[in-house]
Amino acid sequence: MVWLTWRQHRVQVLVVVGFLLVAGGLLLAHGMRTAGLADAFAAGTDGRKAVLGKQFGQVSTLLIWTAALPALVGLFWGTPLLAREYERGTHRLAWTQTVSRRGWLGVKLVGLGATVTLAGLAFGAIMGLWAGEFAELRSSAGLANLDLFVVTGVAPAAWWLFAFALGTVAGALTRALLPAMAVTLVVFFTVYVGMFTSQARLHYATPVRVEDAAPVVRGEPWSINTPPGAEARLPVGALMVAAGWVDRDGVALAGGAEWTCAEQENDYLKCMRDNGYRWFAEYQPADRYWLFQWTEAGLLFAAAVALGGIAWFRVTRD
Amino acid sequence: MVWLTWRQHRAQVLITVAMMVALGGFLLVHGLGNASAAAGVAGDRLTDVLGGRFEPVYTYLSWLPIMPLLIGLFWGAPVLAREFERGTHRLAWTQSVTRRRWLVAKLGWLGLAVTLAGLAVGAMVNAWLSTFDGTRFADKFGDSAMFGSTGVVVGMWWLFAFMLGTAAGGLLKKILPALAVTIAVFVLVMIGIFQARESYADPVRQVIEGPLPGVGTYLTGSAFVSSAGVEVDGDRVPECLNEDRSSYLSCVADAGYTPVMYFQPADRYWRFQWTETGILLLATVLLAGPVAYRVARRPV
Repeated sequence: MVWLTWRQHRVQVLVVVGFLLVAGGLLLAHGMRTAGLADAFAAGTDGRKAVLGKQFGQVSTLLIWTAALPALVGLFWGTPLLAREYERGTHRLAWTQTVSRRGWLGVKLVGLGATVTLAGLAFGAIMGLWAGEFAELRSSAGLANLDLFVVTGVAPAAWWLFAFALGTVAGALTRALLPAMAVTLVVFFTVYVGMFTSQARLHYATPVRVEDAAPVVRGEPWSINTPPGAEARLPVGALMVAAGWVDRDGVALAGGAEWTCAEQENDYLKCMRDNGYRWFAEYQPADRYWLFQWTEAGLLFAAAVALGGIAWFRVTRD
Repeated sequence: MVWLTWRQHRAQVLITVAMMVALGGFLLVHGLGNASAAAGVAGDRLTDVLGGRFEPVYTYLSWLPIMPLLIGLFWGAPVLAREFERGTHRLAWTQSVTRRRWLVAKLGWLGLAVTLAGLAVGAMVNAWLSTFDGTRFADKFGDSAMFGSTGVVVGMWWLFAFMLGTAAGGLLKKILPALAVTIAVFVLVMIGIFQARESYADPVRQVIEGPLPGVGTYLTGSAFVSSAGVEVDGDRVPECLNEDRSSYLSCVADAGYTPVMYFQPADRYWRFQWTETGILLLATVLLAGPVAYRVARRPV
């Protein structure tokens, strides 16, 4: 069975291995070049941060495209597994051998699932090593950059496994390849984009709350709803959940509320301080990175197991 | 042949029509909301009001250039690859309808449907975008996602992707490799065209001493020119190489540099549309050759 799984899916495996090698090589080259450029400056200086920022910017625009990777895994690893067998009728051959249906599906799911997870871990490790070069940057350290969060650590492995399970169950339910692919794409992107827009990640743990008298930050544009320089006042690598103003009684000021300070553009901060308004922020500190990674991995793993279970029952109960 | 084409591809047609109706309905509702929100408002306040409505929708609409890829995958690849993989080509091409007629009918009807659908989506996006007129968001030239999703070129993108999928299916004869190759080639072509877009004509160079060129121009580059007339790249002003982002601009101004912009003026929009349509049309025709050969000449 192991040989059969390999033989039937060796193209997918080789393509993914090839991709990991190419991506790893390119990122290694980029990381080494970054280290070389940044070493011209001492640690912590503005010049070093400027160089790191520019180098990071070269790759960060591509980060949004990494959403395609789990989708491709779902399409090319997941859907053919069952849909192709059903469509061609080869399931009648495959499931009337000495290997039982459960054995066949079990070895395939576990074998391919493990391979997908390992590949995802490798990808997460590559991205994590590359991102480590930019640990000084406020915009990319710790939890600050959610686009980076989803491609480092164990999150990619979880997403790849989830997409694989999704493709498999789509194939089991629709029993045809193209409809299974369409369903996989739609469901996967709904979930993936939904995780970002719902900002669910901000709430994996109760955020840390900090309050302070109105800060003095020169040169920052002011806004009624977000105190100026709110992000700059958080520790490096923190993920901001909410920020705003509270009055003397601790009641948060709603956006658009009428206050006396709103008109005084230049003395706005002084006015807020004089009226006893305090600034608050809720954030997730950077040291919760691994907690959040394992939370997300756990959620996706549970979903993958559930989907795999549905596929299992659909196939073995006929 | 018309009935056969419809019967074999009706799922794709119906799903695409459903998607277009959903998209069109959403854009219509959102656009009407824009019109009522913008009534009687002008200037900066208009930018605020419409900006708040534009940003969340744009994060999704910026993915519109990917829609042709879905057409290539679900309309294009199955046309030939599914026939070859199942062996039904032996049935289809040994009937009274000649192979040539079969291919022309299929590609003709499907290609026409795909092009019309693309143009319809383009018209919907264009209409929605025009509800932002008067602000910087109504940018159908400068924004690469919007340029590729409005006007004439959108129909051509859909047709090109369809032909790409068909060619991949016809040449590789198996659906999974055809899908993979379609994805890979489409992404490369998309990146290539996006990079090449700014070079369809020589940009206009203008030293900025007054107001910036208006909305709807396509900014292709910027630079700084010193008081002595020496021009340098935007990032590489010699006196300011070690500044970080927040102090760079003030350093450059202190060193006596004036900004220079390179752009394509807004009235070149249609010229660029037709240029890109021509490029994609050429690519489509070049792909049609191998497809026709594979179908009509090789023995069944």
